Amino acid sequence: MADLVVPPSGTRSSRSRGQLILIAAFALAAIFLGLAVLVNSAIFTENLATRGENVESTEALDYRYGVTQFTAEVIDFANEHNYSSHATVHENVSDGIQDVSTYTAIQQIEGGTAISLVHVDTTNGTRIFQNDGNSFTNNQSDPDWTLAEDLEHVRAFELTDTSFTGTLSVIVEDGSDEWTADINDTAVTVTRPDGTTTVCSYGSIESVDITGATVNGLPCPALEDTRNGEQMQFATGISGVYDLRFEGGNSVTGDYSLVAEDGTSAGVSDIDSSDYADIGGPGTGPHNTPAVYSITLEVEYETSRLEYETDVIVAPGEPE
Amino acid sequence: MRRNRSKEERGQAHTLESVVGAVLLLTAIAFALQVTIVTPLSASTSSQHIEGQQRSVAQGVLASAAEEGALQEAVLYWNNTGSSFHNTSTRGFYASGPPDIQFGNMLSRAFDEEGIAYNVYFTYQSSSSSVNRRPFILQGTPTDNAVSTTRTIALRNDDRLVDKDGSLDDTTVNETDSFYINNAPSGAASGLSHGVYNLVRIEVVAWRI
Repeated sequence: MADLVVPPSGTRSSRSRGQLILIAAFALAAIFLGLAVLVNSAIFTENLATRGENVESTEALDYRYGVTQFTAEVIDFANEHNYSSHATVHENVSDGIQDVSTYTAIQQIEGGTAISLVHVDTTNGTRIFQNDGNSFTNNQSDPDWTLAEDLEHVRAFELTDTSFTGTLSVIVEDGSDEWTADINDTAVTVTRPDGTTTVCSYGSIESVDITGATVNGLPCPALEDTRNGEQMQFATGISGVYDLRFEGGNSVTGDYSLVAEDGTSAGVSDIDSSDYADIGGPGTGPHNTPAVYSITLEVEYETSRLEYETDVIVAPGEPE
Repeated sequence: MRRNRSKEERGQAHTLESVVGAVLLLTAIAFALQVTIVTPLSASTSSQHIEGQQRSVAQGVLASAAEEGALQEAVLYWNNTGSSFHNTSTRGFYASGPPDIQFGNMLSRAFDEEGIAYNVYFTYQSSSSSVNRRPFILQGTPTDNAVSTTRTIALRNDDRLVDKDGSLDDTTVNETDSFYINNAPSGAASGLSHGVYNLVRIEVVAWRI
């Protein structure tokens, strides 16, 4: 064996050098191995950290979103077809919810997911609509009239198949403040209570979704924009209950519909019945019917690894 | 002289020996690294990452299709006289590619160019206690790494079938017997029709090929 230490005499033994190199090689090899382990563990950690541990919770949230979509269909159908009284609409909605709840439960159980959908509450409203393509006047042919007073919320406020000859003003007011949307053939101008206005322009306006903030199916920034930290969307800046008016209803023809929640009492007491026509006639004016404004559902989603329970309010077309 | 030469020879031998040893060791390390390295395609934790991405893409497609009404259109894309989806002949489902409707185009944009295959199934209520699962697009048998994601939509009695060119037909789902989805039995006590025709669960199964 060679000496690992240089002899003190100064006569360096060349036999010791090969072994030194061998040991250095061992050390290098060990260091490389160590580095390799380090790099691999770093990769593994990164992989673990970025892996979607929330896959199942995403499914639950997706399901909740799906529920709001298909129950909205039930509400819309009931509002449009069985409107003789609030009680009828309610019965219709809860029957529908009961059935879709059964269907989803059966479909989801195949994937090991237990579902429960319970209809816990209903908010009454009124559906106001015109579907004969006439001008937006009331039953007395007045172009300036109030659709309803003391409203709490309005959803799914849409004008369709419109043809403009002038400007229609949709006015929301609570006695002191006023939110206005002036709509003519080429532009929507929104004025907030503090006087700020925004405009969006189009070639020819055929449909306006006022609460959904779209015109001809495309986003209308004026109806949803934020200016100086405040939003411009429907009824912004109006606190408490409000009245909804049309001005210049004779300068446009087409259809419109909205569902309003009464701010003061259930039923249709905040509406002047002389403005409206019965659905079977006489008169061709706009109509109003009892409707469901929104429903509250208790949604439960349960798998072997996840339990999710929440209350969902379904009010299709309600502004955010 | 002899002693010196012997010393030199032995030193060189040692050096050679150590260099060879080092090379051997490094080769062993390189080999070890090669056999353990993690690649995106190797069956390892990384493939779960890819699965997660595919699941997210599928969820995104379903969510935006649901919002756009494209899922409804796909479910109702039915040839009422031929009793099959449009252009599917006797097979009954799409195999080579998705149909030319919005949902088909969305799937195609999201998956086709990425080399990802997918199957789409519709599940609906056939009787009060059982469900039917009908393939809409079938591109093969999913691999072990396939991901699945679902979305549920409601069909209404007054929903109309969709023609071959994507326009709405005059026939509503309730008026025809040849539509593949039946009217789901109602357990409602009152005699009113609540308008829900059936509930359809759309399932997308995607995997890398």
